[in-house]
Amino acid sequence: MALQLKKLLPVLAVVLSMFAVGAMAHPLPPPAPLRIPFLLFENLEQYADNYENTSVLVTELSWMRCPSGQLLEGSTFLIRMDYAEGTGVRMLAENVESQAGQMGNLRLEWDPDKQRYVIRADNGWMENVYAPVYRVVLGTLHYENLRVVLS
Amino acid sequence: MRVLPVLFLVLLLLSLPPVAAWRGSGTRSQIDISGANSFTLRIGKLTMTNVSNLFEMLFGTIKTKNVTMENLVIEVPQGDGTLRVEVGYATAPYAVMKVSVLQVLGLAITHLSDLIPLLLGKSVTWTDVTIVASSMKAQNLLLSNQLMYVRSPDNLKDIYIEADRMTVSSLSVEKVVRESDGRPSFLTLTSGMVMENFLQKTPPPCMCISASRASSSGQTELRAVSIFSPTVSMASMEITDRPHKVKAKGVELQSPEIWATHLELSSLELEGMHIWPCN
Repeated sequence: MALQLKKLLPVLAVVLSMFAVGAMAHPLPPPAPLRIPFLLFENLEQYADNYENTSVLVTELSWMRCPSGQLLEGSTFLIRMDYAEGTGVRMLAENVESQAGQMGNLRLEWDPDKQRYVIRADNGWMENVYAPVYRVVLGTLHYENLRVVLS
Repeated sequence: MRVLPVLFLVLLLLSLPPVAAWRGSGTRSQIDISGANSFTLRIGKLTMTNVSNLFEMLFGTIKTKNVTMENLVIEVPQGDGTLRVEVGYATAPYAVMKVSVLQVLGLAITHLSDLIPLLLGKSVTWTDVTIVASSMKAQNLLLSNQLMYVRSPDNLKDIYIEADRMTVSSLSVEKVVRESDGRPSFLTLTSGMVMENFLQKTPPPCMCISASRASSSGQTELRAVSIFSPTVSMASMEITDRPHKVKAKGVELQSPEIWATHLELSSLELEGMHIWPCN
């Protein structure tokens, strides 16, 4: 009996290690590129944070409008809209790039609640925005001519 | 009638500010005047040509031209601390300074041999000069290795900003303020600011912002800890009478490095912006 148990131990160890690997955090899949030709926004807030063990740039907007269409391109899908207007936007991205933009009443200030520096702007616009995003959450969204294509 | 000159001297003495100490020796001169209504200039080597007449000098106005200064340190007491400006080399074609009558007399006594050339408008060179002034104006200043600071940067807590070039149409250092944790910074208001190829980095969790060009048409509020630039030029600079404010116009900084605690811009236009978490 003891001999049989000894033989079973390596198998048991392998099974347990497989469970342990399964319990570890999944690495995030590659971020989906988001491209917006023109973005209008109000109450922007940006800060660095950690999401699923990955450093991300959090962007929050109380209101946004993309009057000239946008494109969200994932590994298995493609989303296009001619017009989009949303509130309560929260986006976790690898980074955010923009060709040109304007920000009204921009502040870079220490937030005692978040215990980190936060960028805030009352309003503004950005042109040719590119952001590889991990996650986008919207409070409300109004859109025109939505097309979702599986790639 | 003979009483009049005596009366004039008495009135002159009565109008003087209170004096704490006065001392001078050889080429090294120093005058300390008590009270916050003054700031201090320590100059390693000063070359200048006096253009003020005797009457102006007696009333504490020193007008100079073709001024060069080496190893200049300006200490300006402001609000909740002292702003310090260190400059390796500075030139100004014209500068005016308001000092006390005692300061004038002190400088004259410690540089007696230069008195006649000075009054004749000849260029003089002094070393290790300390001047306590109440206000100063200079035109077309050129500074090399300029460092303006209230304290050394704390890399863990301060925001770092660098740029290839920064121009500001007007700048005013308003006062020294204390942050909530007691650390000092100096409140700077600027207008018409443009930065080329700028990079900004916050302390951990680190966030980096870069832009090929950033311009603000409105007012910018910067609470800075230190500002360093190897080359600075400005159309004019003034340290005002109490409350002491450092005001400058037409400022251009090459490769500035700024450590700050807070940045606020009324309106900013960005080109080629990139934001990313950088830790």
